[in-house]
Amino acid sequence: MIKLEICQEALQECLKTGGDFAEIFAENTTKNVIEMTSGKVNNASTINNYGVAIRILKGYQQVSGYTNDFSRESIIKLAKDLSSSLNGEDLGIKVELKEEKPNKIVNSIRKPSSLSNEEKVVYMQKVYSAIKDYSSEIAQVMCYLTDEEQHVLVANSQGKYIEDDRSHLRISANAVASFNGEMQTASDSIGANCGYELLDHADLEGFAKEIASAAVTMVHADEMVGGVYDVVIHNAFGGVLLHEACVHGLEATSVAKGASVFCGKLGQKIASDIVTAIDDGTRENQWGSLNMDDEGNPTQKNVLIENGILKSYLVDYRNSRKMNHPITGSSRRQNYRFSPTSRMTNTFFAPGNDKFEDIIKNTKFGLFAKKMGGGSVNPATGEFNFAVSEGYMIEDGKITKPVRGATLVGSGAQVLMNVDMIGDNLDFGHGMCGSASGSIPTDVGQPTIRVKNMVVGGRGAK
Amino acid sequence: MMNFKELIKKAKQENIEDIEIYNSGSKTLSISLFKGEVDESKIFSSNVYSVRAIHNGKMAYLTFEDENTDVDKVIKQLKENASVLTAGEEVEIFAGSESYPTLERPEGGFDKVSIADKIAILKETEKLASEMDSRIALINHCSYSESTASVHIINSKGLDLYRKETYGYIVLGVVAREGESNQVGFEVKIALKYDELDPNKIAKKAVDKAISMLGAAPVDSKVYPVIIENEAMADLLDGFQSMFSGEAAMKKLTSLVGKENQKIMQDNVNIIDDPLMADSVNSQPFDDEGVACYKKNVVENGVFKTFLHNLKTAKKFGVKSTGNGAKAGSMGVSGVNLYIDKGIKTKEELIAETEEGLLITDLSGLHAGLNPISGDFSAQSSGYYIKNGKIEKPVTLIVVSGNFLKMMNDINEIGSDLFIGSNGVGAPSIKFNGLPVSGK
Repeated sequence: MIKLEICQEALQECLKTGGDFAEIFAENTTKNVIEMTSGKVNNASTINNYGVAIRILKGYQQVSGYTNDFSRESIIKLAKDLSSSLNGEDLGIKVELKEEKPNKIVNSIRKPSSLSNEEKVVYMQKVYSAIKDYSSEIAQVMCYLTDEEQHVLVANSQGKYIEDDRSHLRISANAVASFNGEMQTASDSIGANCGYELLDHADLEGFAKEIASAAVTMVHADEMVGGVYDVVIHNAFGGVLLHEACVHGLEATSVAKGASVFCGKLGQKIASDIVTAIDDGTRENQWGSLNMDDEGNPTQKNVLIENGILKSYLVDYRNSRKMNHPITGSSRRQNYRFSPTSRMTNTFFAPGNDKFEDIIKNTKFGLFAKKMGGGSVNPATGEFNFAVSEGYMIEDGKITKPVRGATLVGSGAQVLMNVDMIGDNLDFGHGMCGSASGSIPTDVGQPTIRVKNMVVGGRGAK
Repeated sequence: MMNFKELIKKAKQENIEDIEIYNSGSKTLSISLFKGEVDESKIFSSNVYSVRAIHNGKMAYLTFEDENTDVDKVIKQLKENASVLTAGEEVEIFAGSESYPTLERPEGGFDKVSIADKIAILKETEKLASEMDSRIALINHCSYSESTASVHIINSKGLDLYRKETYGYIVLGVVAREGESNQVGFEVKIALKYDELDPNKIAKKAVDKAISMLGAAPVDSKVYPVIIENEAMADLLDGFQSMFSGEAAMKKLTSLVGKENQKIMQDNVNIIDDPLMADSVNSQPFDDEGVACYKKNVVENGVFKTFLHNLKTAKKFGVKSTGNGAKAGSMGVSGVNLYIDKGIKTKEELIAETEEGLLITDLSGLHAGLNPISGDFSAQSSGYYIKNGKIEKPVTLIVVSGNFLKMMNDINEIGSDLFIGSNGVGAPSIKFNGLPVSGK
C-alpha cells in the first residue's frame, strides 16, 4: 500500500523532535451493506475507507493525525506536522524497516469481492422465508448482510513493516411478532472473520427459525416482575455478562489511569473459585479473531482470570509503558481515524462440569435468561446493565412461562463472586463492541452459568 | 478535489438518471490532559464523498475517501448496487426548495485562541475539579476538542448548497471515592463560542454529580412517583425517536402508523423539531438532501401531528418532506433539534411537591433496554430518593421501567428546565405519577 522506503523516511521524520516511538497504520477497506425489509431489497451501499494514520509517542504522550492522500509528499508532510508539536531533541533512534509476515489464523476463501450482489441476496432470501413462514404472527422481517474486506499495513520505528488482510462477514435478522396490537422483536446474527464459505456451511434455516420462535414466544409473554433473583444465563451470547461486567474493567484504557475497580488486583481473588475467563484472539476464523492486532503484533490467548484469581489485563503498547505490564496482542481500532488501544477479541468463561439440565433442576425459583440483548458498563464504578431479550421463569427446578422486559443490573466485582454453577456447553455469540477506539467485531461466549442474587428489573406488578 | 461536474456528466452518459454528491469535510483539533500533562493530541482534516444515483428507478449508494477514485469505477459500483434493489420505492434527487432560511451564527473565536491557551483552560478545569473536594480521587478524562464541519451537496438537478459549522467542547470525567464507594461525574459542554466554555461551571457540575452520589444504594422495589431529570429525559426521548420517524413508519416499525391527528399523549405535551434554534450546534438551514428546514410540531397539545420525513418516506405517505433527511450510510430520517417543550414549575418545585419518590438523573443501557416499537423500556438508573419534599439519599443499581406512550399520558407536571443535548435531542425534567422500580 505504501512503499517501505516511504514509511522508513516518514518514521525517521517523526522522531526528529524527541519522539521515542512512531507508527504508521494504513488501510484500504471496502464494506458492503445490503438490507432487506419484508423480503424486498431496499438498500445496497458500498463504503470505502482509505486513510493513513501516524502517531508519535514520547513516553506516554501521544500525538496523532491522518490523511486520505497516500502520496509520499502528503505522508512526509503529516509526519513533519505531527513532530513539530513535540519540541525535544532527536534521540538518535535509527529506523530500519524489515518486512514481516503475520501468523495465519483467519483465512477467507470465497472473498466478498468475488461474489455479485445477486449471489449475496440468495442467503438473505433463505433467512427471510424461514422467518416469515414460521408463523402468521410474524409481522415484519428485516435482514442485513454486511461484508468488509480490510487490507492493513503497520510500520513502526522499531523496524516492523507488516501487512494483513481481514474479511469480516455477518448476516443478521430481526423478526417482529404481532398479537392483539402488541409487538415484540427478536434478533440474532452469524458472523466470522472469513469468506462466504461461512454462509454455505451455516444452518441458515435453523438460525432463522430460532429468531422467529423467540419473537412469537415473547409477544405472548408476561411482563417480568422486578426483584432479586437467582439467574441462569444461557450459553453463547450470555457471555455479554463477562464482557460488560468484568473485562471492560480489565482493559488498559481504564486500568492505566487507575480508573477501574480492578486496578492493583493482579494475583488477587476477584471471582468465585470456579471462574476461569479467557480472551483469545487466535481462535480460527472466529468473529473477534485476527492474524495480528492493529499494532502488528500477533494476537494471543490471554487467561485473564484463573480459578477466581486475576492473572492479566488487556494491554496495548502505549499503556504497557505506563503499566509495566507486557503487551497482550489486544490493540485494536475501528479504522485509521481512531487511535488504537486495548480491546477484547473473543472473550469467554471456560467450560465447567455442570450439565445444563442440572443447573435448571438445582434452581428453586429464578430467571432463565435464554437470550441476552446488549448492555453497558461504567468501568470506574463497575456498575453494569443488560437486557434479557428472551427470558423464562424457573419454578421448582423447571422452566415455566416466558417473561419479557427483564433487565439485569449489578456491579462487576460482586457478580463474579456470585457465579456458583458453570455448565459444559461453551458457545459464542457475535457482537459489535463500542468503546474508546470505535466499534469493533468481538465474540462473547460462555457455557450456561448461574448467578445468585441479581437485581432484575421489569414492568410487571407483584 | 474531485471533479464533481465531470462525474455528473459521465454518469448521465452511462444511463444514470440522476446523481448527487454529498461531500462532508472536517477539520479537528483535540487535546487531552492527564495529571496536568498533555497526554494525547490529535490534528486532522478529512474529506468524505458520498454519492447516490438513480439507475432504472432505483437509488444506490457509494461512499469513498480517496479523491483520486476512478470515476468509471464509481459509476460501475453504483449500477451494481442499484441492480439488486427490488423494493418498490419512489425515489428522487432534489432540485431544491423555493427558498432557504438563514441561520444566524455567532463569531466563534476559536481560531483567535492559541493552542497554548487551550491547554491552559484544560489545566485550569482539571485543577479546579481536583481541588473542589478532597473526595475527588481522580480526574480520568479531561479533553478539549474543536471541529469545523462542512457539507457540500451538488447534483444533476442543478442543486449546489454549502453549509459550515464550527464548535468546541470540553469533556470532564471525575471519580469520587469514599470508603468502598466509587462514583463518577461526567460533563460535556459544547459551545458555538469559545468564551462559553467555563472551566468553573464544568468542574462544578461533574464534581457535584460524583460527590452527591457517594454511598448510593438500591431502594426497595415498588411503584414510585418519579421525576426524570432533563438530561435523562432527553436520553429517553432519543431512545424513542424512531417512533416519530417516517422511515420506521414505512417499515411498520412504529405503533403510531395511522395515528396522525389522534390524541396520543396528555393535553399539556408538545414535542417540537426546531432545526433553526439559535444556540444549538445541531441547527441547519437545509437537510442532507438539500430540503429547506423549518420548525414543526410533532405532537401538539397531545395530538400526533406528523412523522418526520425525508424525500422518500414523504412520497410513500403522499406528503412533503419535512426536511429531516439525515445521512447515515444511505439516507435516513432524524430530528434536528427534537425536544419536549417546557412547562412552568422549576425542578426544585417538582421535588418540593413530592412526598415520597425518586429523582432519576441517569438512565443507562437504553440502546439495549428499550423497544422502540412497543414503547417499553427497562433501564439501569441512578439518582436520589425524595422524602417529604427533600432529597434524602443517593440511589443506584435500580431499574426503572415503563412504557413511553403510557407515561406521557400519566404526567404529574412538566418542569421549566429545558435542556438540549449535543445530539440535538432535548427535554425538561418531568414528574410522572408512578413507575415500577426494581431494587432491593
